[in-house]
Amino acid sequence: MELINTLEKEYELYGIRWKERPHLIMTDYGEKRIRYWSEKENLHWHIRWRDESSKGSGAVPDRMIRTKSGEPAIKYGNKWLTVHDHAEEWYGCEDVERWGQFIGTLLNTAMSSDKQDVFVKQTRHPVFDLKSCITLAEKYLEANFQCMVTSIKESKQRLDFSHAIKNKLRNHALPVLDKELSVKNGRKIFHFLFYQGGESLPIKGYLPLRKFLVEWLEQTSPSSLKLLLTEVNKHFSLDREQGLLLLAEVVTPWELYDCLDQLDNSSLERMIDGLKKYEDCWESNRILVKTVTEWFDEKRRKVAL
Amino acid sequence: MTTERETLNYGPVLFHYDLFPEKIEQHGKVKKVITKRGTFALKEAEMTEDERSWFTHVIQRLSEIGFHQVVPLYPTKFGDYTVQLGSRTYYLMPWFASDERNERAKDEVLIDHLGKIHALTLKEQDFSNEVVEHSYQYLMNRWENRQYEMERFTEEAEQKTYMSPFELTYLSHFHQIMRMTEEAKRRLKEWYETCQREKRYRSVLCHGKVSRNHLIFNPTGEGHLLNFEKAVLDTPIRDLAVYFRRAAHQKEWTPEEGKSLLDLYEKHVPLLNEERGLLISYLSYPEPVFNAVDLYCMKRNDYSQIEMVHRLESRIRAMKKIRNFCDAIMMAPPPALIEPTDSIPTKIHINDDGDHI
Repeated sequence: MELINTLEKEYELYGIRWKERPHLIMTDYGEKRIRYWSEKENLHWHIRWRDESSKGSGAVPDRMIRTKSGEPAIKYGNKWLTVHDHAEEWYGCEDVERWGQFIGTLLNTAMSSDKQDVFVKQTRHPVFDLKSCITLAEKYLEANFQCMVTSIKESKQRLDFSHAIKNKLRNHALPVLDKELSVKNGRKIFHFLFYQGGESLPIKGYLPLRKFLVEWLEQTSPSSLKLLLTEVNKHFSLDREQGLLLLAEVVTPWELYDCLDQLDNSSLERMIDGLKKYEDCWESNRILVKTVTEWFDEKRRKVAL
Repeated sequence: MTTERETLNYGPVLFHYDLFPEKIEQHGKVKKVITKRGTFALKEAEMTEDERSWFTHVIQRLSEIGFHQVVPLYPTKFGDYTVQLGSRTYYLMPWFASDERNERAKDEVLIDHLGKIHALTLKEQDFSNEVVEHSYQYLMNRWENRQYEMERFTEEAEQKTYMSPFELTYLSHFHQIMRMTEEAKRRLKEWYETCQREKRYRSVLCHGKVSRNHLIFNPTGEGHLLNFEKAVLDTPIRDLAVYFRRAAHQKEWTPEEGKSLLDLYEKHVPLLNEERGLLISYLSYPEPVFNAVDLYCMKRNDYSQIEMVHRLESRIRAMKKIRNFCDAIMMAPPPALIEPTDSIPTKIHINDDGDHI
């Protein structure tokens, strides 16, 4: 009750009651989500991207509802607390144009972070570790399982290609993105795209967007993915360095971690099953690399024509 | 009645206010939004990012300096005063039903409010020869080009064997129109020379779109101004010229009424001699008549000759009333100042763009 009383005191919200402790409340103005933040800098970063990416975009991110005194958050114990809108209905992937516009706006915001900001400077930039993957796969490689040998070999080639691009463009800034960028966070309110962001520490680079593209492909088709990239490109140029940096992240064999997770050598039966899953996982992810590289090639050809 | 389509169209905007419309009615450029939480006015506009932030700054600044007779803007649940959706900007205000009992007092309240805003924001600018020179040259060139266009229209009409009723009406007043044009130019030159000599220039926060339609009365009968989308820091004459030029087109309006309204305004901001001259200059320039000619040239197939002639005659009648009004205010001494003035930082420019009838 203490939190409910605080919310009623601080916010222009009435009739507050719990729907799902400690995150969901019902109010006279609909369902709201409460988020708790332990790091002030992280909270500020999340306030900024939500506020900035709402400007002019056809989509609405789950911005922080302001208190009666206009503050985006309140101090609650040793944490900060924010209130957001909440929706259950999934938006889906049919409206490629709207999604493309939102992702494009998001990338523009992600590129405009204050480069001098200590928090932004210290943002984690995930690096793919092939050595640890090879160590994990060592026994299988010794046994010369074809799918393992092929995938590790291809991973090395893709990683070399990715490093070559990243080295060439190492002086170019990278976007700082919400770690939990996901198709599933797109919800529907009044037929518009309402995007529910995350709370995690942000990530430097295109890995969150890569994950988003993987999800998109799982939900749709290669042609829909190409269409999405075309729409994003209308709002955030992928024609030059940033496009190449995205390509570098897409070809980085991140899926190898997921594939290796499928392995289980506790019994022969499980090992065979695990290898089958490994192969499936690897093959399905190759479609992403193939589709994205095809999109870049088609775009280049169009420019050349 | 509200259709599902309208709810969907305005849903994304009203979501920012946590409002669910039960009914949406169109009232001019404003939507009347009826919800369980009350009735609101939703305005749709086209504004750039700079214009949006200036607009909200103006509304907040007016409140800070003590002018509260402005229709307030409701903030969204995210603390913004406008909602941007695609190329459109929206803002929400309380809905005030029109009260016809106050219609007669509208002009007085409007001018009184304008005077108060101007007095509260009046600022003597540091004289900038470059800015005054640029403003003068810009306006003079614009007026001369328009005058040249009208002379060409006259020459072409005169060469015709059979003139149209519109051309005939225009030609019969041509000399009078040109006299007013020359008078406007002469007054503008005088203003420029006085500015150069006195090295002074005053600016105020101008509403930018003064109109009776932009004053509404709240349930207690108190007049409130709205639509500050075109607000600008400029000479007080900008607002006065727009107001009097519009007012002169009302059938019942008389130069005497105009004079008493200007006296009311000058109780807040007594005009300097050069400002009075600038007002006469702006008002004398027969832009509304020229606009009627433009309309005739460009859209003569959209209207009948009789409609075009009526429009022109009405503007010429208004021009005559304006001339009498100018004669009356030229002679009058300014009334005494009754209220102290405050000021806000301003930038200087004169702009004659738009807002001509």
